[in-house]
Amino acid sequence: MKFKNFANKNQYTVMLLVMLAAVLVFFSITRGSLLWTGDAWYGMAMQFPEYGLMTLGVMFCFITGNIDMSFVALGNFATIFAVRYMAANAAEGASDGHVRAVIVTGILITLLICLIGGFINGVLVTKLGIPPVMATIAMQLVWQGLSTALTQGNTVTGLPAMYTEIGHSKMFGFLPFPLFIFIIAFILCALIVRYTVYGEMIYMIGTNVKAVRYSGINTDRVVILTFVITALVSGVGSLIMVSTMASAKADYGSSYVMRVILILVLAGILPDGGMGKIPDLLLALVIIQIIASGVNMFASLNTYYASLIWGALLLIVLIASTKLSGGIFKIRDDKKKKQVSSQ
Amino acid sequence: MKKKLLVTLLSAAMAVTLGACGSSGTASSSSAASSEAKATSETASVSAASAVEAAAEEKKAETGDTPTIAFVPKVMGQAWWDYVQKGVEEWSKDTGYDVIYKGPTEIDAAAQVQIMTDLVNQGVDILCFSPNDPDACEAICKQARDKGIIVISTEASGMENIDYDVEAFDEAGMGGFLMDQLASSMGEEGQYITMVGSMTMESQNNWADAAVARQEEKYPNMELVPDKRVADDSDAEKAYELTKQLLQKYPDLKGILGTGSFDAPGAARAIQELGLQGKVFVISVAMPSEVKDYLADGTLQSVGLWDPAISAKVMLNAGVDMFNGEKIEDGMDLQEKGYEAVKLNDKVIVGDGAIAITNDNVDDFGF
Repeated sequence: MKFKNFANKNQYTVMLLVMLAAVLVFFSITRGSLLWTGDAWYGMAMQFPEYGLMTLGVMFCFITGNIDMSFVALGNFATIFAVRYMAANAAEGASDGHVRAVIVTGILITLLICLIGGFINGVLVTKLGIPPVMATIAMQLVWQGLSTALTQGNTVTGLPAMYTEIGHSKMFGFLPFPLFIFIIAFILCALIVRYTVYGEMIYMIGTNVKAVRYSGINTDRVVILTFVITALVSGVGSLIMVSTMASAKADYGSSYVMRVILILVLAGILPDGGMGKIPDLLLALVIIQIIASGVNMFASLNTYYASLIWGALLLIVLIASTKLSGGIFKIRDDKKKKQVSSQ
Repeated sequence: MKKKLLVTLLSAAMAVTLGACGSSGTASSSSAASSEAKATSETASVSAASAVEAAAEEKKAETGDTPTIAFVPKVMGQAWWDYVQKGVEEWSKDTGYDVIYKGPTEIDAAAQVQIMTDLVNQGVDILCFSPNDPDACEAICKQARDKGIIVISTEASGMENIDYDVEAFDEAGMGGFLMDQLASSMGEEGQYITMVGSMTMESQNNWADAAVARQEEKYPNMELVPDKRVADDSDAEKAYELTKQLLQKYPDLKGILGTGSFDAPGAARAIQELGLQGKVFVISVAMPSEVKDYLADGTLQSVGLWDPAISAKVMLNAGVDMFNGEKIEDGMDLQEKGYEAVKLNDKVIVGDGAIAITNDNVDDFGF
């Protein structure tokens, strides 16, 4: 009975759980000996935190009914500066304390640039009224262009070993550091979304921005803050990517933009805003990573099949959710009705 | 309520079926791409077959005699890498060793590193790859080598955490090869000039230097004009204009030796327009598809290139040799054309693999 209640209230989550089980069962049957090894799961745990953090960041944008396409390019631009700074200031033979200070400064540089980039996105969308897709695609091109011009398209290297080792180190002897950072960020974001006024406000803005504005709240300020949070959280993902790749470049992670959007939509967090639950995001992330790694366990299965399966799962989710009573499209209908009535 | 659960279960069932569709590709991709459609209609039977295949693979991995080999290209679905894939499949057939051929679907170093991470954690024995970005691969290659995996790269001669890097030629090799080709077209006499993509491109300029050195050594009747070297900004249009200007400035110019891949296509257009076929000769490194028409009408005699499929086979041969406990040595035979006696510079295996693309073999590559 309890499960029935839970299932009734969280149909979408149940669907994702079933999907996760189906994916696990499928790969267990076909590639069980490769899937169920410590190495395979360790590998997956190393891989998803970088784009998982980006997904987590962009989630805030989606909830407010906005979208960000610029996060990868901004993160690259920011980390190029940071890597250059760290490479220039942490010469070999410098004391550990000095290198640590340089690394912290490098991280702060990245976050500062991300903050500025997020702020610009927010201003473009709210104050200038440019549709978020257009504004952030434009900014994506700007950041990528600037990065390419700065680096001549070359890779920026020379990171202090201490920084590159972070990406491959383990916390408490078993937890990959990137995963550790992801877990902390995930908990923080979940708390923000569920227990703060801000968290409540972004759902309201995503559901009906006009109503929120008429109730006397400065929605522009909240949306700008949201773009900043998106850029910052996603920037942490870029920092991890830089650590695992031991370098920065204008086009690293370019394939992550679509992947992040895919995960969010799979998780039921649509760019229409106002919907989706943060635990679903975790499920969607894990499903996507298992499929990506699972497909790589088939010797002659083309990597394209991962995209194909991702797309098909997305379709299944979208079709199935129209049938679920608490499904996302029901909410969407409600939203439309609300908008009509507010006009 | 029951209905909803049914829908959920149905969607799960669909997911499983879909996965099975995916696995049918396992069988079909190794045969012919065209039979893929047919294979999907045989989903059930083929997926069973693939399970058997999986079991067989596992068995092999356990016995330890047959290495599990992975080859990671820069990207999937691009003509250059499709051609390499065909070469790898050929190698598989010839040697009986299976090769996991997997690369990112977009040119993205991050996506490529993720695939390499998966393969390393699956415990392959030999990892061959062509990095989109050598620096980005160092960390995962280090992990691989720490696990005892044999790591072999190509076009990444500066990498640290590899066993060996395979290069089709060294700078002197390519420069000399281009000069030999040009000299034979020019009848080993007359004025010539060198062309590069830009004056800052290290390898292209080194090739050009090596070409000039070869001329000074072997072709005394050829003469480098006072301008010596021009740059076309890696733009065929610019190469075209540059060629016209050069021919005005040096009416006796007989040869252009380019090292960039835009030099020959651009210069050939100028020669064709001016009707100077057979009087002015051009060579450079170039993609066959870019120069196909000029080779056909005789504007170009040949362009220089290397065969990426042969490079791939050499990487695999070297990997298997190492797996079998053989040492890679200077002068050893890696059993492919141009690699019968390789040079070994530290970790770089250098072949004599520059090839001439002529009207006869221009269609063999598909790129």
